[in-house]
Amino acid sequence: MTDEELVRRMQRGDMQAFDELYERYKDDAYRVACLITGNRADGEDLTQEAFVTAARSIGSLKDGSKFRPWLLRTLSRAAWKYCRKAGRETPVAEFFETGESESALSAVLRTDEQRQLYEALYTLDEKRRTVVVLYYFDDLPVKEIARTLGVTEGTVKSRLFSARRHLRQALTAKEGKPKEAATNG
Amino acid sequence: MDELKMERTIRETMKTTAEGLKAPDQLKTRIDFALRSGEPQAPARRRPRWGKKLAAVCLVAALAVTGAVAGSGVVGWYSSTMLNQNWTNFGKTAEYVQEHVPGAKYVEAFSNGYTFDRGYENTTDKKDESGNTLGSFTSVMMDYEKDGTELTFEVEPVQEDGEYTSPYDTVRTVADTEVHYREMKGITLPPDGSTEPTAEEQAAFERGEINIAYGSSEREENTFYRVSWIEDGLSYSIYTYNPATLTADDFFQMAQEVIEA
Repeated sequence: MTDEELVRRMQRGDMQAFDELYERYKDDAYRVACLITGNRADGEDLTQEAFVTAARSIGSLKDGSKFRPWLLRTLSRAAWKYCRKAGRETPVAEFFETGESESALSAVLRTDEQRQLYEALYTLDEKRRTVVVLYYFDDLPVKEIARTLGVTEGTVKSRLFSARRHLRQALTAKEGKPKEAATNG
Repeated sequence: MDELKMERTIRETMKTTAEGLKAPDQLKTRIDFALRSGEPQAPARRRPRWGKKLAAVCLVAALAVTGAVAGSGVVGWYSSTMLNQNWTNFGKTAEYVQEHVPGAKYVEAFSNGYTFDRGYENTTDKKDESGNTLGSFTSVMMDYEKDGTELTFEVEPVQEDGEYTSPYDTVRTVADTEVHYREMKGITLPPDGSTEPTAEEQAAFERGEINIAYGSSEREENTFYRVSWIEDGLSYSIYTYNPATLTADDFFQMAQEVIEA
């Protein structure tokens, strides 16, 4: 059954259709949420928020075939708000899981280069990090990311450009941690 | 590291980090519970409100005073620019913004060519009849320049007792955000009280039809062009007295560029 049909069924109040959509996209959403927030617990909270919001506002989705980008957009926006709130209350070093414990997201990374890059990823602001996650992890083209996030393609390209520059600096730096990336620009 | 390897490393790091992640079993239970419990949805986006603050924000230097805010004990908002707190360096300004107005968005240049020229801090005190300060807040302003004309960008925390909308606004939804635009006739007067608005002007001000600001060396009549919006608890505005060739569409476009920054 296509997403479009499931969305139509949901819009008629069939929650079994929601269960099917959940099964279809739960891991995608959870992975993106974990990568954006930097840890499993927050990733779980955000995935919950995204699906609850999606279930409650499914009536506003005109094109059911766009359920996945719509869900990711909901998730991304929730993540931005969450990261900003958490960033104000918690030092970044404490907020993001590091490789020091086996439960950390980065525990699976085996090369120094990957670990360095992982750390640099979480010095990016949440909007650039989201674009990087959607582009490199979810393999979405720029046009699709723009549609998913509700911004222009130029904005996506600009965020990707500055994120790459920042990550490159982090990887080529001989010592010391990269400075926090600007939130704008 | 060459470009290709860099791309590959980013991609591999992402995939390796996430490949073993699976949504926990209890997550669906939590979602079902949240849906059944009927927890309210996220609150609807607040409509921007402005009006009382307008007099304060249209002054680029020195001092501005606004009208009373009913019921709060506050009779005026007194806004002053800290001339010793200004930066011609965008990076320094950005650092200051992040420290004093966390979460604020801004751009170094707009696509129409207006480019950052200077940033400075602005403090607004809310005072009662006796001149006691009942509260204050900090905003950051940035001037942008193109071909000798300037416009100002300002961001500050939304104030509960502020009014941010006017029935005279043109309203559009830009990048899912309600954005207001207005061209408003106004006067700017010296702050020493040597010149006062006429009764007609004061009445027009009370009706929200014109703007009255204080801070010029002599009485000036002008038109104030402004686009404004509220996002994540912050009030944004871009304004100028001299729009040169800028149209309303251009102002909405600049708002979009900040919203999407």
